[in-house]
Amino acid sequence: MKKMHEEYAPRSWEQGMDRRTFLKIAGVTGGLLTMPGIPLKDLLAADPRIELEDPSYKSLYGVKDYYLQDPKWVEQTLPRLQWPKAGERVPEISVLTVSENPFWLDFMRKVAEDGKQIGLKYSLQQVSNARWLDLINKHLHGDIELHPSIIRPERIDASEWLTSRAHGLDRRNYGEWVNKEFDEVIRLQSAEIDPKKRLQHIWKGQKIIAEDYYIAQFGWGPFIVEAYNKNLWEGIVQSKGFGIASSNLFWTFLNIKPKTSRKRLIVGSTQLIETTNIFAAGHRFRSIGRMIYDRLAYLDKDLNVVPWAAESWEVLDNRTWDVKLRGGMKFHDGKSVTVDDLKFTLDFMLKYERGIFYTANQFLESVEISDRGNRKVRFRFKKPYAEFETYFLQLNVILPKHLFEGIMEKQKVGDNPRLLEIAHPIGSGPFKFGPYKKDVEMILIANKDHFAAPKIDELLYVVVPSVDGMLGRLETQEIDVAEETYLRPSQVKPLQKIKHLAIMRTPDIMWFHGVPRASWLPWRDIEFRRAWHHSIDREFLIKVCWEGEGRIPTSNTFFVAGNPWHNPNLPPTPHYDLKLARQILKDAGYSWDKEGQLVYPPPTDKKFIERISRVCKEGYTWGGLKMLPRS
Amino acid sequence: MTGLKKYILMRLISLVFVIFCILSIIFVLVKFLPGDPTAIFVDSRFSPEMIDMQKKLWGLTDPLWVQYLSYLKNMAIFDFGRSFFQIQPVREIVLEKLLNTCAMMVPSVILSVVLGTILGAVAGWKRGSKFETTMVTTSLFLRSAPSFFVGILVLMLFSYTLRWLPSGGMSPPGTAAGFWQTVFSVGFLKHLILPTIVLMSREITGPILLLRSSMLEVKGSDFLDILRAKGLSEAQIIKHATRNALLPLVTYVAVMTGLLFQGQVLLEIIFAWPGIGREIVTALKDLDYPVAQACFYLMALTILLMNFIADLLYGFIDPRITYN
Repeated sequence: MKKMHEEYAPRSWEQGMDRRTFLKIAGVTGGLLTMPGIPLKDLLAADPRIELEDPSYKSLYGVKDYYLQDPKWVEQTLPRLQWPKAGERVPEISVLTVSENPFWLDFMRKVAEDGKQIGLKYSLQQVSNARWLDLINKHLHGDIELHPSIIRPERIDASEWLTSRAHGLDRRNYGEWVNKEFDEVIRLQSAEIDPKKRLQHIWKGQKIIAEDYYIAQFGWGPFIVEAYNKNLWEGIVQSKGFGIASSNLFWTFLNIKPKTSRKRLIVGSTQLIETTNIFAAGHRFRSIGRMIYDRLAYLDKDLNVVPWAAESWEVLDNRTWDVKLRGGMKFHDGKSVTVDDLKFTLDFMLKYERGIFYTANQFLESVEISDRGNRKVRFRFKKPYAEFETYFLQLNVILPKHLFEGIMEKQKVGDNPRLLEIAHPIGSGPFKFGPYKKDVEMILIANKDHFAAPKIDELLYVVVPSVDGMLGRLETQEIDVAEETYLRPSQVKPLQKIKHLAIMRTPDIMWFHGVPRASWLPWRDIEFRRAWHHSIDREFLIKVCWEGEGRIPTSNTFFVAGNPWHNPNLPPTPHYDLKLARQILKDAGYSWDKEGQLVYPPPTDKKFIERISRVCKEGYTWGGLKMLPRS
Repeated sequence: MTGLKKYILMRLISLVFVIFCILSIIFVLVKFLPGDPTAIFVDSRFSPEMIDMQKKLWGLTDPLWVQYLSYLKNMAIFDFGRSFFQIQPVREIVLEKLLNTCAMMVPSVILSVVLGTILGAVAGWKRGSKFETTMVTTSLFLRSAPSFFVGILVLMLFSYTLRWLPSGGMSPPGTAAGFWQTVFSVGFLKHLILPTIVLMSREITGPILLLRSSMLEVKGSDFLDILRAKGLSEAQIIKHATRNALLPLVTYVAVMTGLLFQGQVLLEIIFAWPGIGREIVTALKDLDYPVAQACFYLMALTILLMNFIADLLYGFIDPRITYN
């Protein structure tokens, strides 16, 4: 993980300039603000007062344009690292919600209302999805980062969540929690290729997060409830965590059989693909593209890794694997898939690709054809790599060498494969790219030569921009199934009356959680975090926001009960109890002013000082931001 | 130079100035939208050099004044660049969506104007009659009803209950073809009926009410008495009166057409119509600057152009109007 940021040498923190001086200069120079070459951010940011307990984490905080290099981050962070004065109130808790997910706001309003009972004031702001992504990426989201799970096959690996959301050097650790024991566990699990031993490390990681009252799981779910036309179709496959009609785990599309002569399955979708270029793919082509470009491995409906384009793989040592390519595969233009295509693909990725495939391939050292006769390719990683099966093989595709060789030069796109124009993607997958009309419909034609050939002839995706429109078309039989459209009970009820529709509920592995800003006051205080966890009414989320379609988490972990990585031995989720929350705060030295607002413990409270400095639970070591020196 | 030619020249010059102002406003508004356009597709695990390369490619690292000048130059030659999100040229995206919107709007506009003119003229001519009362009441009612509400009602009745008409899209599923092939197909006509009904239900009310008011003014004119004295039939007299009452409608239709071509976002969602309205909303939501800027620019141009045409048409319709 450190290597990700190594090329950014930490800026000289002594070059910082305070904001007031900067504004004076800006006011005088005016138009010079837009002149290139003036390192304005350098002038303002990199406040030298902000330090880390463990300097080895500096590489993250010195990343260009973020953290210490971002004046806004510095401006927001500084006040939260200052020792509270006597009688100082706990500041407003700021939370961003996304307008596309109204239940976030509904739920946080309840949390805010309950927060008043313990003296907390919340500030809720609703923004667009793009704006939310922008702010959380820059760590400008405020006190609590809300996040739902977005599941993809390569995200089933435990690292995808444990590392990304909680490792001290990962930018997606939105609470900036730096627990050195946890980071050590992550290091161990990422290098442990024995699945059983790795699982033990992963269980330990979950335990540390839970014991430290870091991420609060609000709800597990919502449930995956979908509908399809049972009069016309049979052979639906329920894939755990993905449902019956997911392009990410498309077992239904392979196995579904018509009950009539129509062999075209019509799937309603709120959105089609953004692009046909796999390198520039967003969420949609990453999922639909799986059916066009074979991955090396796949997941079965119970989320076990199964061979796919890779027939088998063999561990040679903890950083080397021999992968045997499946025989008899052909690209959609009839050319055979060979080990040369596989080697070419990874070489191409290593040379040019710095986007989604880079997240796995950055750890790859070399790719060689080790046994051409037996179709074997050797992958050697820079260091022990535990995610080989569950991430690397799930993510990587096989590109046709005969089409991609020299393509960068032919299309004059320099080093950026995102600019490639690939009007008609050719892969080796179970479906071929067919007629496509942007934002209207797309046809995928079954590849009958594929080793997992679909039983249907065609998959027709039709754009239906709204969920209500989707339900209407299910009713009128204009579509057979709606892609990844999870229904609420109020929507299911009228559908149950429609005779040709079957309602299916699939076990889910989803969650919705809140990440407190552990590096900031008041969250640095573990007792405050513990009290806050007890102030969350999870039942409200499940019963009201999700209309009963979810589970109250039994423990604070991403890996819900039913997830292959779930640790069943975790401490239970703190139960909703405002009186207890208040008592915890009182025992921790907090008080309330005349207006009922929560006040920090007095500056002389030694236990408070000790907790704020330590941040983590006793026995764990904090490596993150330090409090500013006392004035 | 004749008066008309001089007028056209002056209008074109002022048009250029107005377009420049609009382009500048669009630039400022879109540029200062909060948020980073790379956020929607960039994963924080992507290599920093990729993120930088992308921003440089999009010109986002250039100084603002460089971006502004480049933007003005590109807009002048209708080179809208590439979509941040969809990678493909913005011109292709926007043109396709604009054509789809036209396919929905043009029939509605034509039918609304023609029928609305006739109904409004008759309503104005038959002042005090039941017909006039019915027309006015119905028009006011339909004008107040939100079009998306009418759309949902119409869908519920004709698609979900009676199953007479399809519930959305431009053509039957699986038959999507090029624009012209689609538009000249029977399937398209079936798909057009419901959106046209919904749009007409609102847009016809404008011409009805306007023509009615205008007719009431013209009805008392002296020239109609002369025509009556000459022995013309009632229908012929109404025709002459209508022609004189048309002037206000010309401006209205021009403005209405310009506004309609901005797209009807809610209707496009309800009827799954791939039009420009949805494209604009998506572009703004995803901070896809080039698409958003191009859409706003084309919308502004449409309105300006329609107003210009309206001003010119005045002179043709009413010979009393000169351009000195």
